Amino acid sequence: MILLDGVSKFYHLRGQGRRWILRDTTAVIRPGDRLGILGRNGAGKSTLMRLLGGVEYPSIGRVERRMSVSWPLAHGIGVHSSLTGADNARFIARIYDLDPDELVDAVNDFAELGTYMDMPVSTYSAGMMSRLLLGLSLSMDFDCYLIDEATSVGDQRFIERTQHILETTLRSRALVMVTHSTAHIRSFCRSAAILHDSHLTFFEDLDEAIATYEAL
Amino acid sequence: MSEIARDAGMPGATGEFARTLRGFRLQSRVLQALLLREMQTRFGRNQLGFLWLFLEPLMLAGAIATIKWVLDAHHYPGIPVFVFALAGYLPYFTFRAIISRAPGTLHANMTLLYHSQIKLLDVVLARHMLELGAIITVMSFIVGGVALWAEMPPNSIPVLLLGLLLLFLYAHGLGLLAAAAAAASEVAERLIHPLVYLSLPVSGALFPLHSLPPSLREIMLWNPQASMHEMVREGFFGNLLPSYFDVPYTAFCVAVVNLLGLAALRAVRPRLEF
Repeated sequence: MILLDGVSKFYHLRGQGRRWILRDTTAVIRPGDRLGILGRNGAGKSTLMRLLGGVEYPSIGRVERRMSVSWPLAHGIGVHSSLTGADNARFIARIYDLDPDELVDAVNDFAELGTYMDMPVSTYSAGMMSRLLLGLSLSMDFDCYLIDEATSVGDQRFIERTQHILETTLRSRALVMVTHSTAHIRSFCRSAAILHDSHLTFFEDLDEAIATYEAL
Repeated sequence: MSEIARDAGMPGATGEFARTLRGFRLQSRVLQALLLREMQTRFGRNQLGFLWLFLEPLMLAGAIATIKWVLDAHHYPGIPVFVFALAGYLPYFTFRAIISRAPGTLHANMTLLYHSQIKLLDVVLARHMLELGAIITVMSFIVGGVALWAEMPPNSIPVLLLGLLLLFLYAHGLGLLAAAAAAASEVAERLIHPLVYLSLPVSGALFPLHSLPPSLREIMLWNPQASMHEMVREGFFGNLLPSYFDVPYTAFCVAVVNLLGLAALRAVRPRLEF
């Protein structure tokens, strides 16, 4: 599980004090949870994902990760733009102690990038980028996947494939997903939280969460 | 194995050791992957890019050596000016490259830190190891070339290597400090370049300490970098040119700078903003 224990996060603004992203938040993400995070632009959803992934550190409190967590999957994050898709896959495989060729094959199968696997990632469209990122991480065995808008630009076929994997091979894994698409929240998540004014409010009922979010 | 665990006879004792071993394995795996990637991004996949790693310092040192040769600045009997200049400038170029590139290393590799396996230190270490590989290779070419054409085999390869290694470790520690300082403040980042340039005259790379009056020489030896350049020259020229260096003091300075660098990097990590 991931435990947020009295976590606060703020950034220093130039000469204007602090901008608070989170205030004294305590929360638990358990194995198998499927949590959608909703919030307006700039509310701090991506920062929250980085806190969960251990990329950024809380200003106050602590984040404890007792399961393996993927890196936050967001456009262009965790890959090197001047390297090809295949080189990125090999690099990530080496870091996580996997077989490089196996990972390249697995990504190829899932992302269907074809010849683009051998093109620099900087030439990828947003959709191709998200296919590469999800292909990479879903081919690896994490206990919890953090998806930060990576599904938002996918086409129907790709969304269905992602959903299928998460409901079959990876059905016991946890998922934390940031998206503005209420349709994706409904199809991927079982509970939701809204990040607003540096407070994270949890909802067991998706309809209630979505109604609250739309009323913000 | 940690002292405490062994004394307490806890079952976790071997676990502790295994954990440390696992950590080492993980780090060496990450470093290997980073080195490969660093080579791919820096040189591309063509051979010329890789060749450039050697050509760049060779050309720069060669140009400066030529200027000195034309100006006929200093002359030490039995030592070709060109070789003397190369022996001083080449290590200095690497030293400077490591420190002035250190702030950029962080900016350019922030996206790597999204992978929790990769630590801030690994990113810096990988880049510096590449620089070390480059300088050792370039140096062996030069030593080989000088031995063949000028019929001047190096006096002592171990002393030469020790000097280079100490200089590299010193640059590595200062690079860690520079990276941490740049991450903490913009002013510090801007100051690093001029400071590195201003330090050139007192670095000991330009002239042998033998050319200084003894009183000044004593003062210069407080700068560990001067000792290191002297060691490189000693390794090259031996008795042709008297050298002055203090290995224990230099090693001590290197250790202090490295520990400070590690501490600074650790302190700055939670404050990094993505």
